[in-house]
Amino acid sequence: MKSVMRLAKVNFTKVTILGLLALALVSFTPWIHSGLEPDVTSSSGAVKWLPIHTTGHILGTEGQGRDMLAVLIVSIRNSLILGSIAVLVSVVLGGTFGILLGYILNRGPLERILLFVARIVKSIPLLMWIFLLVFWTEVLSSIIPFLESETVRMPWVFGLLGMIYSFNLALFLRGHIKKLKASQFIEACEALGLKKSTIIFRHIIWHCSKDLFGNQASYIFVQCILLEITLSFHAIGYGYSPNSLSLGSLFDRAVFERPMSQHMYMPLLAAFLLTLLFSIMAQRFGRRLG
Amino acid sequence: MSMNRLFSLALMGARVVLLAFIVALIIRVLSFIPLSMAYEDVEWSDLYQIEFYSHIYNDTIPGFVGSALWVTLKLVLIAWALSIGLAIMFVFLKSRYERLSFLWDTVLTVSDIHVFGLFVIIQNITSFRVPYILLVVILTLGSGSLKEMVLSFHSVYKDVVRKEYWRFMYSQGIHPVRIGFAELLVRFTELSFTKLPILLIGSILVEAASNTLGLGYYLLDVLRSLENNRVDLNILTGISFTLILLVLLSQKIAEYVRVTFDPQLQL
Repeated sequence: MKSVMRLAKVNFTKVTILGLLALALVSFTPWIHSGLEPDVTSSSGAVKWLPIHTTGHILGTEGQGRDMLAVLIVSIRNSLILGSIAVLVSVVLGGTFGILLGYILNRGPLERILLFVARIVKSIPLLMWIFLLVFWTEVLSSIIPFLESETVRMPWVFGLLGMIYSFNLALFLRGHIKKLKASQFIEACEALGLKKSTIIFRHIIWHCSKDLFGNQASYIFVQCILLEITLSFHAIGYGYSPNSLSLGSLFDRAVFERPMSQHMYMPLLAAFLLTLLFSIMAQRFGRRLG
Repeated sequence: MSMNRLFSLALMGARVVLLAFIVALIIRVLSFIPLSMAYEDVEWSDLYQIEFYSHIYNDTIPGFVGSALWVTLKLVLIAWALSIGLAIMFVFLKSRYERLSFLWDTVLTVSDIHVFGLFVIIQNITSFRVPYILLVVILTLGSGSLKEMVLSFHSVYKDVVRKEYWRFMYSQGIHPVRIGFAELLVRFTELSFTKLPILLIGSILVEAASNTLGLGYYLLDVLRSLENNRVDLNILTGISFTLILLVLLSQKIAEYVRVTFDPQLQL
């Protein structure tokens, strides 16, 4: 047992990623789907919040009679999907901009334009950005019906958030590449006549910048989990609708119907643990990056 | 203070104001485009007629934003002072009682609880009337500024005590705080200013949850009003300008403190 724990500690990042992937896969199983069917137990047919350790429901049920564990697993999966979309957009765009700014463009007008745009984007706080993005999307949804459905709107908003965040990643990557560019091994690669694409993708990105990407991706996941809860809370009201399967809407519903109950703490605890895991991952990547 | 320094300070201030104004104008344009696409009665004059009067609140924008700014600044600055005080205390505890570091880290993980979660818990504990000082505590903990400050202060402290001059003077029997005081003061001040935007953003959430009439509360209110086709881009521009100006100012002050007072950079 001790050796397993030690192994998990050493390979914390891998174990966490595999665990979260397994959780996401589990959410597609028939058992979870059956748990999402409302369980109306009372004779009047009324829906109620069943407490922990009720027969057939380890964590009880939520307001609509759905199994709390199944709802939590699907909600975590949904948060991870939103985070993955933001990370994907951010890594692709941020990586491209970072390489352009750090390695390819040399003090040209394009570099100055990109830096100016990055500076403008960075001067607006992330939370303000997300409010503006949601507001623009809400306004546009009246003429683009495609955006009305929340299953499209939320990934769209988080994709845009990834785009905003890509400028942050680009600036970090730019600094990192500039530092690497001055190092001897890059000079050696260039002297050996290696192709630019090989130097960039194999030597700079794959061998030297993996941890930077990992650090930023973990950080984006943390932001996305917190932002989903923020947007879905009634005081903001821009996120998922109250009956959706998300940590934010589950927490918001519990705040209204069962304040300070175990049901209110469960989504909060799930979000807390997820955030903690990704924070630790970000710290580990950061430490490896030095 | 020499004239040159005063002039450079004024120039820096002007540049910050200009950049904040440009960004606020960009937000205005980007907000106008979807509004003009969605609503037929939105006219081009709404975009370029910059007025100092808000039709949503029937008030002058400088006066209205000024009063909201005062509410936000009060909340943020008290939380900032609390964060700095607690962070210094945590750094002291972490370095003095290193064996108990898991305990200090556990306390700091409270920051990973969502700010709304903290708010609801405290709201229920205090029977739905959250006292002002607890709002400050929620902002300090929930926004993550305390955790960020402790992490940065601690790494700076470790960095300073590793230096040769510090170790030499420590071996001569001088008190640890006295040795690195100048360097620690400068670097802590710089770091504190860089963490100010975290609190400013956190205040938006705290204000929204507690219905405190600050800039964050009004930002959300204005966006909702615009969504209901009560087009008044002036107030959005005013609030955006103020928030962005505060964020940029805190970043610039941090940079200025480092460049002007850091003993290492003065060598």
